[in-house]
Amino acid sequence: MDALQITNFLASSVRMAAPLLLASLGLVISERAGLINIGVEGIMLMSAFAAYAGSKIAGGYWYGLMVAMLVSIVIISIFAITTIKYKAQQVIIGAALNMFCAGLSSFLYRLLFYNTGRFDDGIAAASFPRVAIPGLSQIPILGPTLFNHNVLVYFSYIMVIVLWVVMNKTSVGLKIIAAGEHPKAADSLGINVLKVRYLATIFSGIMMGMAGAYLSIAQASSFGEDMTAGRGFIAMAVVILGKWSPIGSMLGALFFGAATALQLLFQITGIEIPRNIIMMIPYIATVVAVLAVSQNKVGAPRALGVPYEKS
Amino acid sequence: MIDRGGIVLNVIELNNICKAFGDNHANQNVCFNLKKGEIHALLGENGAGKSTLMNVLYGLYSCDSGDIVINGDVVEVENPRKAIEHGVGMVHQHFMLVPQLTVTQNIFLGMKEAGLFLKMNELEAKVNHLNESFGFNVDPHAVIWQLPVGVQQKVEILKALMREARILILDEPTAVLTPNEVEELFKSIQKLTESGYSIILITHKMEEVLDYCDRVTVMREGKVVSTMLVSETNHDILAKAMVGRDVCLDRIIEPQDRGEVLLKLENITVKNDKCLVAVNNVSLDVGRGEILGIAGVDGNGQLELGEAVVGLRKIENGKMFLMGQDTTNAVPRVMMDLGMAHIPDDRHKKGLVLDFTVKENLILGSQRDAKYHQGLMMNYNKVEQEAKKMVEEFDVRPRDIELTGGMLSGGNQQKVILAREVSRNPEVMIALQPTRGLDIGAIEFVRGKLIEERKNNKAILLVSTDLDEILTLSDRIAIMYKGEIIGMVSPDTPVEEIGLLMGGVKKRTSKGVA
Amino acid sequence: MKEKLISLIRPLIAIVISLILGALILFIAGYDVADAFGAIWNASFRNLRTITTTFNKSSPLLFVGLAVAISFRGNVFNIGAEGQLLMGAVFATLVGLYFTALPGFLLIFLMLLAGTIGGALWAFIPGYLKAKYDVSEVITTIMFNYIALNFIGYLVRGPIRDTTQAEPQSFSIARQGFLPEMIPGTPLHFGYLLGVVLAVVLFYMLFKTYVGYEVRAVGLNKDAAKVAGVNVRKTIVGTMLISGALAGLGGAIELANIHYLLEGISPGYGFTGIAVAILANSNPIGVVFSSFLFGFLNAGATSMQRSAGVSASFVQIFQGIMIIAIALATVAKKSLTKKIEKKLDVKPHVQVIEEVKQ
Repeated sequence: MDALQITNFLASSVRMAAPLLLASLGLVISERAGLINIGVEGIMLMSAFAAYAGSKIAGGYWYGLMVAMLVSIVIISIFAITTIKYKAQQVIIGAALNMFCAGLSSFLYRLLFYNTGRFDDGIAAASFPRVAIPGLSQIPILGPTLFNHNVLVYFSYIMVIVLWVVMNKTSVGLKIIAAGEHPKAADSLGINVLKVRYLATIFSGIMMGMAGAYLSIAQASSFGEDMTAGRGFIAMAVVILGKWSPIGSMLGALFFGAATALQLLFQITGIEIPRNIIMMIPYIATVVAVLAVSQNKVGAPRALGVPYEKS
Repeated sequence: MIDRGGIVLNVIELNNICKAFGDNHANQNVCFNLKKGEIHALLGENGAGKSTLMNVLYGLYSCDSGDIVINGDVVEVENPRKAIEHGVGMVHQHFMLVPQLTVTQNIFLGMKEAGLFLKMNELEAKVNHLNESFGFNVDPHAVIWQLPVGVQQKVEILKALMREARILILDEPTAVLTPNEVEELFKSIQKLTESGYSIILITHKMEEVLDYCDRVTVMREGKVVSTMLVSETNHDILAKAMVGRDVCLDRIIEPQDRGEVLLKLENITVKNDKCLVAVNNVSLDVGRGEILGIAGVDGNGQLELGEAVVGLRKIENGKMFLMGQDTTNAVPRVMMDLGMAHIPDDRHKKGLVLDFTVKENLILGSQRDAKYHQGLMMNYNKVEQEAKKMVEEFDVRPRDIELTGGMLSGGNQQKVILAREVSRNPEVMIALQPTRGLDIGAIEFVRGKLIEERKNNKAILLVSTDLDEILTLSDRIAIMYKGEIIGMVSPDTPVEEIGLLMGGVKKRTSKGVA
Repeated sequence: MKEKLISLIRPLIAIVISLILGALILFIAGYDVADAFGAIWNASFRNLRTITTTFNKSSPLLFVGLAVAISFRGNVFNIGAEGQLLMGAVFATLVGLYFTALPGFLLIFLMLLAGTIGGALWAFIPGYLKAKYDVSEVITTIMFNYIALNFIGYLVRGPIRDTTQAEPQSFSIARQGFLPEMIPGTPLHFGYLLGVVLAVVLFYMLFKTYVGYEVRAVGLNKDAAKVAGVNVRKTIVGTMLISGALAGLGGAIELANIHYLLEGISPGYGFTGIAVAILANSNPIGVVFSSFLFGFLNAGATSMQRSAGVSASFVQIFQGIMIIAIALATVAKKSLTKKIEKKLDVKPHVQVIEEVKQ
């Protein structure tokens, strides 16, 4: 393995990590506010489709991103209203949304893009180009690894810093933590717990929308049914692995990004392992990772998954 | 009724407050006033309506009718935020603190003054300033869950003070404190009143009223019985007003001989949920026909001790013998089969399956008894028969065994647990906080049953933070402090001495009776 | 009695709501709603053959529905019925491919047994991790779905690939291992009957045996069950084992029904199983009916795609809406009873004082 291969591996780890990071940053906020949303998988899938459709129809990747975020907000609102207002079981609603989104994305994909007996008219959707940062991207190994990506990648790392500041240095962060740890205490101090939870959920929806858009119009320039392939669920594992902190999530996402990029590494190093076996790696890594942190649950919000009811 | 002449100011007046929940009138035409600078006790039994009244004042409940007058103005208090705006602060019995945050973060949680970006240095300086003004000594950096309860309570008071509350409602503040901490708390409170703060103290302990308060309002069954100056009242008057009849707190058990030892603990050590040592090297034994009471302020390891004995918590060190057999770290099933019964400390969480019917709850733990099944199949006819007998014998109301456990009142839920445990005909009974949160009737019933079991020559280990309960029921009293048994005394030991032991002060004179 | 009636009305309301919303979506998308729904109906009830096809299609749903239902009763969120079903199919395939010398009855029995064990094994690991290390079963079971799916991918592209076929799939199992028909000439097989029998058995197990009593106790209040001497960990692992075994058996039966292994052997049966269980309020007898409903939808979906041009994935949309509708209906009922309870009994102690006085 030479320097180029290593660089390629590292750079693709970062690329693979980006959608996981975007989604898990959203989840960090909503989980710390007390909501567990397994619907992230479906919402990412639906956003991936929306981004593709938006980019294709409106003819620009920024449109695609906007449409993805809008659609994501609409769908996560269903989750928010049913679980926060009506206190339905979060895991059940999440599972339902996964089904709903898988169905809807495929339904609409066929409806809108299956015209002449085949998908796609051969023209790819406009997708986010790589933007090399002048100067920095010239550094050997480090440059291509960190500074030659599309803007969504850069944005995800900016968000790591922003969210770290929000959670650790602002009163908004305190409110979110209080809503997830001891909602009753928050309520007794005049904090509107339900509002905090709504906003946290909507925020997570925006991030999921971006994560979905990344899959279809940044990492690729097309949509495929079930193109998320469990990345939403892995993002949930990333949050656990990162102990519900933005920086921890970044490290967790990079770990899984690397696990996914291993596939590439095996290919270039010429080791003969069946593709399906390699594809199992991130999923097995997820199980191992959640098992590894299960012994030290510090950081898990106490009211996670528990609806808040005023007495 | 603001007296512009400046003689007496009523900072709060509650006029004819009525609050009903369905058919239950929790407050009926309640009138209450608070003068500036006084400590006014609101005295009453559980369920007398004092908490309801204060929750109305604090905006947690809205009243059905009546006026709230604060500083001379009739006000609407729709929510706690409004109450805070009017200068009313409340320290709840169960602290409203976020365990993962620091003292300063908790104090400024939800306050606009904190700003968006937290300037921790400035905020901590403000906390320290308050600290100095009122003689509190709370470390603003400390994370809440690492602090002792006494300090957490101070944080709660600081929270109210920081929000510029001039009127403080303290809900049973001494329940979790040692006698020393109680002393300290009232010292701080007195300092507050000297600076013009007014205090409402919700309590059911007459001693606190007599020792520290200026006036007292006694409530019973949703109504105010009377409001008196503390200087013009005494123990008997208050007791009578509270329960509506003469009470006797005398011991109600007959002396009887102690039989063979059924439960024996040798040097056991147990950890709590945070993996810290909660029970340290404790040895004790309980014999037939005796009630061994474990006294102590909440959180001194007595609960962990009880849980270890019934097999719910790991014994890290030491040995336990039940009926002569080594049962160290045996699972609950084994203990139960050997003849142990267990009244858990938390009815809802550990005692009942609330969504099960009363019938199903009555056999919880006995589902594998030979009489209730043939092969794998349950014999529900037999279950119903037995359940009907049990609800009759233990006076569970209503007598409907098909209701779910969650639909019963607290007292009746406890009766279901008691019925279940007693009917198992155990030899050893572990009762953890068996009367907490119950009304007088149910308390008498539960205590009566424990005494009956003692008469039947059962060995009973009673853990209770209610010292009166321990004193009235126990043959011997072990006092726990910081995980250790600091003293083993007989129930005729002066209360003051037991109080000192509960606070960790060991006197040379206290003789063991074991 | 009234209680029972309400528990029947709830799913019916949810079904109606989902039908209306489903119709709305079709209408907005520009389809002929009557055409589409008509196609579903026709596909299932036109004649004996179509009716038996519907039963055939609901067979795997019946098994995974039971699997999910029992896990829900024990408060374990087994989102992994899909993976367990797949592993059941894998184990059955291997038996069917390599024990070709066995007579039919024995081979089928062995295949089903192997599938049951495969499914149970696949559920055991997440169950054990939950019981022993408190690892969320939601994430582990989902991951196990993907691992199982990739394992099938590996098998049908590698070791057991039938190279005469264009698409990756395994060789066909031995002829005598094919599932016998219940009504000759129709796709209705004996596996379905087995599922119905198991539903009844499971119902009795849950509500009439002490094992079921303990499963439900653990499901409703783990702490109280523990206090009462129930071995909570064992019960959780046991619940997962039964759940996985049922899903695995369903997979084995499906495999014996279609005769070879392929990646798409399950179009998400495990996930539909969640909808099936929820619609049936996790009641095994109810699962028989709700699985039939979803089987009917699945059967109809293909023909709807063919004749009305509506994508078959419409059924998934429909299922998602239905679960949400039922979850909301459940909550609505709860808050209603709570309101009634509040009226009767909000301040229990006050009430008791009154009782004592009487």
